[in-house]
Amino acid sequence: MLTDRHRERLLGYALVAPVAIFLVALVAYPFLSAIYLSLTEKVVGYPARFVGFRNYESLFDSARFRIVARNSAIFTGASIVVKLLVGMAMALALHKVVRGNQFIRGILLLPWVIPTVVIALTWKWLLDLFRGLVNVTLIDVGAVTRGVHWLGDPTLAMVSVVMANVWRGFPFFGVSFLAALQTVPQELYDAADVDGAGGWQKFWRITLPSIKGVVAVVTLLSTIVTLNDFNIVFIMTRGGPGAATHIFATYSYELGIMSQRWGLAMAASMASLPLVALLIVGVVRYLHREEE
Amino acid sequence: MTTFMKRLAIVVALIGVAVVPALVPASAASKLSLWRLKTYIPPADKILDANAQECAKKVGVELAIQTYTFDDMWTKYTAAIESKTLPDIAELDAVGPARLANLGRLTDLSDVVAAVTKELGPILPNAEGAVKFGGKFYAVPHYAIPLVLFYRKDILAKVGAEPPDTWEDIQKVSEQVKKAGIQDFPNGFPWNRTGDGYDPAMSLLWSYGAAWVDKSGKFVGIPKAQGLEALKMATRAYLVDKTSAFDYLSWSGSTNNESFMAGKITFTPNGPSILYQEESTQHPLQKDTAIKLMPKGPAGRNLALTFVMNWAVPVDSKSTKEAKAVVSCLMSREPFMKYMTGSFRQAVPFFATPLNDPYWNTPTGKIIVETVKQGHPVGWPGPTTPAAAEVVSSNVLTDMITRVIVDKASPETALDEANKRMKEIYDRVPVK
Amino acid sequence: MLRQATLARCLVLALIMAIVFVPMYWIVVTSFKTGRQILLSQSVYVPRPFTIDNYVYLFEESRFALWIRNSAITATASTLLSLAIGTLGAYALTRLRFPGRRTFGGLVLITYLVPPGLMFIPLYQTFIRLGYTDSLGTLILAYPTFLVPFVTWLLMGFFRSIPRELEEAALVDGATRVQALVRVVLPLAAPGLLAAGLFCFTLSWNEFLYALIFIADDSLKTLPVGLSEFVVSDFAFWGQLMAAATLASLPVIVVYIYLHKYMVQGLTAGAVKG
Repeated sequence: MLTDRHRERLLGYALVAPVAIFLVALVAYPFLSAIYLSLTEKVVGYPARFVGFRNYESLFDSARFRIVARNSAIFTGASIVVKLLVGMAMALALHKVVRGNQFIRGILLLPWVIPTVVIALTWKWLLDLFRGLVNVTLIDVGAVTRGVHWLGDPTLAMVSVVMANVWRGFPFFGVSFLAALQTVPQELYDAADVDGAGGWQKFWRITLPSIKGVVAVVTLLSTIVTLNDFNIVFIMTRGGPGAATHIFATYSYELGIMSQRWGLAMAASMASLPLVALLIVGVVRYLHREEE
Repeated sequence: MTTFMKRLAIVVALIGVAVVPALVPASAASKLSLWRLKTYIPPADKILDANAQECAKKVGVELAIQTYTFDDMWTKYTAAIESKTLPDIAELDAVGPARLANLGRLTDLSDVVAAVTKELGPILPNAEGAVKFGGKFYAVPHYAIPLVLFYRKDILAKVGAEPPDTWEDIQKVSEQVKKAGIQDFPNGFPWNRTGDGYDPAMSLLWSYGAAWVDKSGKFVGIPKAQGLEALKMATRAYLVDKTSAFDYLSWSGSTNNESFMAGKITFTPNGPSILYQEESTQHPLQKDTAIKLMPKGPAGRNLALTFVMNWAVPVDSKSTKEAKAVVSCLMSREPFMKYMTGSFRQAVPFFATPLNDPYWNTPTGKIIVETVKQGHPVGWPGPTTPAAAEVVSSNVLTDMITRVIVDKASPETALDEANKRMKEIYDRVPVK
Repeated sequence: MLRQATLARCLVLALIMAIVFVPMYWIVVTSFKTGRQILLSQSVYVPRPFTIDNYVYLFEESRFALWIRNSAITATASTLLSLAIGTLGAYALTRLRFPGRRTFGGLVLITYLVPPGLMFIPLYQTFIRLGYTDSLGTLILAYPTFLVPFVTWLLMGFFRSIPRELEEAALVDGATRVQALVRVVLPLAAPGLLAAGLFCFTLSWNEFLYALIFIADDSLKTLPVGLSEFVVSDFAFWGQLMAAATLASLPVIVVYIYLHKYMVQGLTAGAVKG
């Protein structure tokens, strides 16, 4: 005789089984293999030789790696913050507008749908010192007398790759937040109106708390994806000028594919693991707390 | 909702009908696979594919040709090396043969080279360093794309300058162009992470007597005095004369082409592709574009040959005999000449007969051929070793230069760091 | 008060639209230029003369139609598979009580600790061992490895915001859990499902590395791999690249708009009624 509780348990396991089977079958081996390889001296084609934490030690000793880590933090942090703000603004703005809503929604989706290669190449061209539309327009308009070194000045280069990343990624935030806004019951707002609440108050007290869950998850997932982003930086600057925009993804590409040092490349990529793990644990705990 | 679900079900069913055939893996049992580089000359690629298929038919096998782009080449090869899925015939770059031969993954092709020598004449001695190891040939050189110095004839005439012969000359003329207000940043030598960066970097160091190995390929480190001289020359345009823009350090392989053709720079190192692009678009700057051998320094003119494509037959192959036969056929006189003469003067051979063919007897052709004849392989004055390969592909040389330019490190510090990095590589990587 | 809010909204939208518009405009305009015009930076804002050569080239010389077909198949199948697996998992993790669900939920995200850029070789070796490479099915199995965790978590977020009372009402009426899921929860989570589906689709549509390595057959190339061939080391075929980008983006937008109208509004309306 199955009690309700038993039935619920069985159903629970049955429904998560596909996820579990899929991930264990396909992800477990690569995941464990990656961790193991980061602890070995492994050159492509040669057998791996266990060396413990030596890879991590040499990375942390390396000044270049510290620069790469710093760049990654800046690139990811700045991109996420801006994408969050722009995505939220987009969602709030589109939530009420009625006329042409669908069309605008579609247009604003374009940056996310266009192949990344094209986006990176386009931004690279737009910011070209001599022929880029941005400099040409700035000079035409008289804002500057000479072209701005968008991809030459170390700081501006970081700004440029962040801009391209934001342009590409904000629609994801916008669409997700918009979907989340649609699940907030109108009655809450109506009640607040009756109480005489203003726009900002409604946002902070009703909107934001209601969509907290989606905001947290979307931010977490975008952070992970941005931390591993390769194409935008590789195509726009290759990590240059010098190492000004060299990030984890381009650095481990250089180590692993170009120099064939696979073990070290794994270690370099794993370096972001503690941060990601912390974020994941943090968000998971936060969401579970909210559930109570 | 039910109508929607019905519609959805129909769509899914249709998709299923389209998808199922594609899910069956391609049966590659009886075919040989050939991996080749996708070049910027589509007509030449077509000729090569036609040649390959004809050769395959002659040998009696089926051939599946797959292409890769230059940027993705090592990603594909790395996966193939690790998974033991290298193709039957592999077109490798300048450092590929050294890496794979050292792993013992390449078939001895000495007999194929002997056969090709009968058809195309003797191989250039400077080509051997990249393909001959332990007295045996492990790859057959296919063609080279040498780097030459592109410059604007008309701009030089305007400032009354002669075509530059030394690195010093280039700096001086760039200064004149900038002072005359013709261009802001005429010196387009980019110390970036592409061939346009590491190739001239090697030529520069070598022309200042600052090679990092001896004739046997053993690591000796970049000598301090010469290295500092070379570094000074490399960084001058960026830091002192301001005739190069920092943006050049972020350039991709095609940006210098486009900037030159847009009339924004006077000098740039590049393969002959600019000539091809100007010709195929009837570019207005065609008459003003000229090329010269890359410059020389105090220790002479020591040109690097980093863009070289070679044919190799990995031991993974199920039928090395047939694969070798196809390569032999591809490099026999008729197919090779057809390819060479259809390459718009971009593919320069390494064998004497086609190299001295009247096809190259144009003003630009002569310079291009001369570069290949004089050029040295990666790892000069020693042979191409996996260690030398790693020095080039991990950007040690251009990093050394950008450390001074961008990070404002002192040249001594940058030189020390580079030597340390290279020593670490040579200590770790076996030199066969 | 209301007018201020509407004005602010319009301004924000206009600004965002402008920022999106400028690069888009450049992409579309470049697709109608010849190689010569692009190199010489001629007729920057409006191509004169107009040419459709690039579009013709895509269909006559390159295998663009094939790439689109392959990408469409792969992306659609991966999306459906990931949505199915993820929805079941998300429902179980938010609505059902069973021991270990908290840990499991967190573990699902572990896969994100290792970037795909490094997992591709061991994953490739797994498929080689299974004897199943060089087929679109390989990608359809590989893509959910990074899609399923995301879908699960995103849907968990949406499911949580749906009040339990509605399901409980359905259960009281005699529906099974699964029926409650399909009839009550899914319609209300439709916007979230669409967002998750869109996410899956565009990530699969844009995925490059696995498609480059797992597939060798030229006739099974996907769009990103095909597009990368327009950038040869010394040369970028800008015109064709931009034409390809324009053509590859439009259908997705159209489908999204259609799906949003029918799926979200249709489903949600249905749920409220019944």
